[in-house]
Amino acid sequence: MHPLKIVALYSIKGGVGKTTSCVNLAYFSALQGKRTLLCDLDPQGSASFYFRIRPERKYSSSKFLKGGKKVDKNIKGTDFENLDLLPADFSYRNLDIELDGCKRSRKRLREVLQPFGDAYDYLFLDCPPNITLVSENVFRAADVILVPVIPTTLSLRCYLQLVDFFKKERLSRGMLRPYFCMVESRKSMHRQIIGDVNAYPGRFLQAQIPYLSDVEKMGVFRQPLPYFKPDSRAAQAYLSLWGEVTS
Amino acid sequence: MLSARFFAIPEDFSLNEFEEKVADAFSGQQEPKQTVRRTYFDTFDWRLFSRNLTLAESKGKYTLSSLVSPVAVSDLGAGPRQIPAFWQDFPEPAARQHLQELLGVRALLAVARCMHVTESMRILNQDAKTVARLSIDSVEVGNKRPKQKLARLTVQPIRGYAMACAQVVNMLAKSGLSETPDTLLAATLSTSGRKPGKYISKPDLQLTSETPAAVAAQQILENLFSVIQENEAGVLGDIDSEFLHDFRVACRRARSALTQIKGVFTDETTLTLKQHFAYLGQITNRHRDLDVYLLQRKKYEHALAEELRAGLRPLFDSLERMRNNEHQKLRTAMKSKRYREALAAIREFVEVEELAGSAVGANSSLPIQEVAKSTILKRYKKILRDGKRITKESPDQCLHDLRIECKKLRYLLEFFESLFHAEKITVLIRQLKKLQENLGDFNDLTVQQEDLQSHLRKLRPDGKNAIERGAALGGLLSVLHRQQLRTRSEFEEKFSTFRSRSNRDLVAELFK
Repeated sequence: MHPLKIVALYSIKGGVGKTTSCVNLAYFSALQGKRTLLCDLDPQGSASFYFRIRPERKYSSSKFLKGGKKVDKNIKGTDFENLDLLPADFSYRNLDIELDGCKRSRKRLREVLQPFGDAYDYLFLDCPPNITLVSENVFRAADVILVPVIPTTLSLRCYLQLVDFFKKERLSRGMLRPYFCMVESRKSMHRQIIGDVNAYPGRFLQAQIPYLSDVEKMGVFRQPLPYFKPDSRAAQAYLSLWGEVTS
Repeated sequence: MLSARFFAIPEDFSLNEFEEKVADAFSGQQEPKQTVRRTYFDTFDWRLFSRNLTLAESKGKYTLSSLVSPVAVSDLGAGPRQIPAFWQDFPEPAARQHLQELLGVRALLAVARCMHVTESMRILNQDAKTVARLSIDSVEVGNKRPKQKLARLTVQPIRGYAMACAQVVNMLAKSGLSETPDTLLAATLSTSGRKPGKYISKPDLQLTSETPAAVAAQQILENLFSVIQENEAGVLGDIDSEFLHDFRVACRRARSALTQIKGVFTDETTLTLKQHFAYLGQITNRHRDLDVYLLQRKKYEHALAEELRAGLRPLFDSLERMRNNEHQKLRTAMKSKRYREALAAIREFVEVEELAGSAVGANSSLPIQEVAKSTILKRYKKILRDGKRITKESPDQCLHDLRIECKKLRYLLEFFESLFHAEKITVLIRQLKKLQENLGDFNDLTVQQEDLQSHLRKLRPDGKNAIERGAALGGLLSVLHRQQLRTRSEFEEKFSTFRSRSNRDLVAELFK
């Protein structure tokens, strides 16, 4: 059995398409027969919302950090074969503070997630924005960090900040795999930024996710895009993206 | 994986109605009906079924599934070109390996064909999240009309929604459905005409100690006759080598019963029956020898260095031709008047309600247990006597003779198993089996060497590939010879285990 692969969807900036990417990629992973767990770390719980899953009343961030059975009991099956989800609770907004009180506070997440290697092939982390202790934990737990970048100055700047942070903290920059998201090719700025891709540090993935209302409709249908509209261009783009990540 | 629960359902049960019943707590979402044609396979002796497995084909794809859970054990991919098929006939290497372990030398036969309809409904909570899956599987089995219809409802729980699932199960119970441990598959296989799992090549008897000896002997013969009949079609159809093997063993057992259970029938009756069984055995002798050879092919090839293996091919090719020839001869024999007469005579004898006074012998009314005890004891003592005399210098023939004696004892123990303490007699049979394995191996190795030597003698130096063939035969002979020496050297230890104090005590306790 090959070891558990942990894929994080992360960006310092919010609203760049992290959660939608995470949901769709996890869906493809499961569709291809890989036992997949999506771990929603964002207190907003958007990934949980997309799958219509609510956490149990008694579930909280402190239970999450205890790991083991406490986490196991709260994993829920989605409507799709091979795909489970650990929902986020609103108390996750305090994860930072609680992590701070933990021993080995930067590696706690890794310790919580490691035991899932027996039950799953892929684990997806949908991360909250900002650079916090939670994100530092993510950087130390993940095997690959997918960073959605909108081809705009601000979004690109956030990506460069992340690269600097990795440099300063001596984290492996090879884990970072940026890709363009919410691309509108009719906008000249988008075209220009994408055209200069070789000038930016890091290895950008080839696949680009177009800006389409299909993606926004995920919030209405509360289903992964490739499930309700498999032939959408965006769905196809997510599939190529997943193909690149796993190749 | 959470375990599914199965319910038997009445004919008028519908998902629509159930959906209305649960409407207070849940909503239902029905999914398109699916219909597939499936064929199920097993060996004649139910090797898959006896391990709670079944093999099904639909749309050219073969799947091994469990009879006790709805989850597939493994996808075997594409299947054989034709049925009956062996494990070798599956194209996928993983499938071959898996099936080899399960099937051995036996062929797969189709045991049931059906149309399988699945209707499913997802049970949704107020967030429209699926909390359980219900499915009704129904099959129509058989070719006759009206077709037999079987149905099951499966509740597949979803992780994290145990409460909701329990509620659904509760509602099903309230609507009068009852849970059943039996899956649809098991029920489907029960319709195959043959009872799944029901085939034993050994005599399967329930004798009582007071049964008159002649009646018991007749029952034993009846049992063996039915084994012969059950295997007849498989022998004629040349499905796999086990049909013929079981057919022959039943004949041999019958002759052994007639010889060993003395004085229960008149000498004339005994002799006539023995001749009939001997005839049935005799027409299959050469065929079986050749089958055994061909089954050894892989083993022989592996025993030889790779560069010598090619020399075996002409040998096996000619053996295969001889076997096919022999099979045609057997088919002809099985259609002959002599064959029909033998079967008719045996049938008449075993099926008659009450044996005529003119057919029974002096011991006919003795209680069978008494007869069994003395016959077994006599055979056992003879084996101990003969075996003790065997030294390292004794000729091979002594071991062959002992092998025959052991076989006779084994048959007796199996005929009369039901008369004695089940666990104790099983222990004794197991002990005897270990000795028999040693003697059997020794005999097989002797026979095989003699045969190979005769092939070697017949080899003409100027014949085609004579050197390769000679080298392969020579190589094989030395391997077999070494194995034979090893087997012989192990005899002493096996025999002394067999005649150990504890075994002798066991025999005394059971049969004195």
